[in-house]
Amino acid sequence: MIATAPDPESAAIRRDDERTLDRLMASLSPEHREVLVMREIEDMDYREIATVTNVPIGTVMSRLARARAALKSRWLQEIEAKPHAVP
Amino acid sequence: MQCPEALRVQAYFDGEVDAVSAADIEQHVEGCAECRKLLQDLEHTRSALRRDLTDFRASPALRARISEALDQESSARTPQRSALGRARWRAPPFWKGAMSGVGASAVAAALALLLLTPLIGNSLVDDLVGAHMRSLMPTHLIDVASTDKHTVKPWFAGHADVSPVVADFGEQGYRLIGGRADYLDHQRSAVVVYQHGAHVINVFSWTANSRYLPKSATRDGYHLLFWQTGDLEYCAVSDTGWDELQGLEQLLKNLSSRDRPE
Repeated sequence: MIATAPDPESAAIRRDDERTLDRLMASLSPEHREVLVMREIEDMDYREIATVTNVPIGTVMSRLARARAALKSRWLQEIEAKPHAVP
Repeated sequence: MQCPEALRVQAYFDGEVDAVSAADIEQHVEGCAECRKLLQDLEHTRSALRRDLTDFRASPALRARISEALDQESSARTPQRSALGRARWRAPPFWKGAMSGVGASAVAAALALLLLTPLIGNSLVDDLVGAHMRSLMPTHLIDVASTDKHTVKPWFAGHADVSPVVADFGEQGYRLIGGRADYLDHQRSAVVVYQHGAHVINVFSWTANSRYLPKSATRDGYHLLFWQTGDLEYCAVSDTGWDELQGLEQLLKNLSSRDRPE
């Protein structure tokens, strides 16, 4: 994973992406943020998420879909706002 | 407007369907441009989050609690899965015992708190990592080189705005090698420098303000662990693992609680 050191330019782009994504995530509703972190970062399955958030699995599924859609639409807005930021 | 199969496609992407359903969904996706696009988007979102998200990871302590609660919850149902799937969430020894009896709802509350609380600006995390990296350059690490807390601690009095706990934990593997003052968060913060094996651990400290701090953060490959003792905020920064940072945090916390009655 860290076999090669990135060149300065791609490292800068990467840092830019990190900030953008952190900011976009912060702009989501807590419920959406929570379900995305649990699924994508913590790699929890639907049943685990349902247990921890105390909602039915069906709700986990629909919430996850809405959260992903919300993040995507914010990301697209970001790209339209400053096209040069996307390589 | 949206394909009625979208939720099933998502479940397929998340590995939540059996083989028969998977084959069924694959066949659907072949003929549905919208669901093909959906799969691409899902993959794109996942890889972007896994690669670039830095501020929103659960702390190791919280992971341990979630893990514990889920193990209790699922032990009757799928013990073999929990044994495998939870290995990466293993808690360091001193968390054990403190977690017994933690139910899923308590964990949900803790997780909600973590995710609901307003986030620290990226700037302080950036500043801390920047200060840590500068400290690793030749001659920048230490202003006062000493393994004696009675030398390091008084030095801070004239050079920093705070007076943190200072001690040598050589026996536990954290050797005190000196101190430094860094300008951070609009004040002269005190930095206590430890050597742990081949790694340097900088323990920054500054006067607490009411701002929310994360429990932990990862940036540019460095781990940052935050805690508060009295009116001082501490942050240990290093490229060691979480367990090592938590070990030092615990030693310093123990020391603070012993010192307080004086």
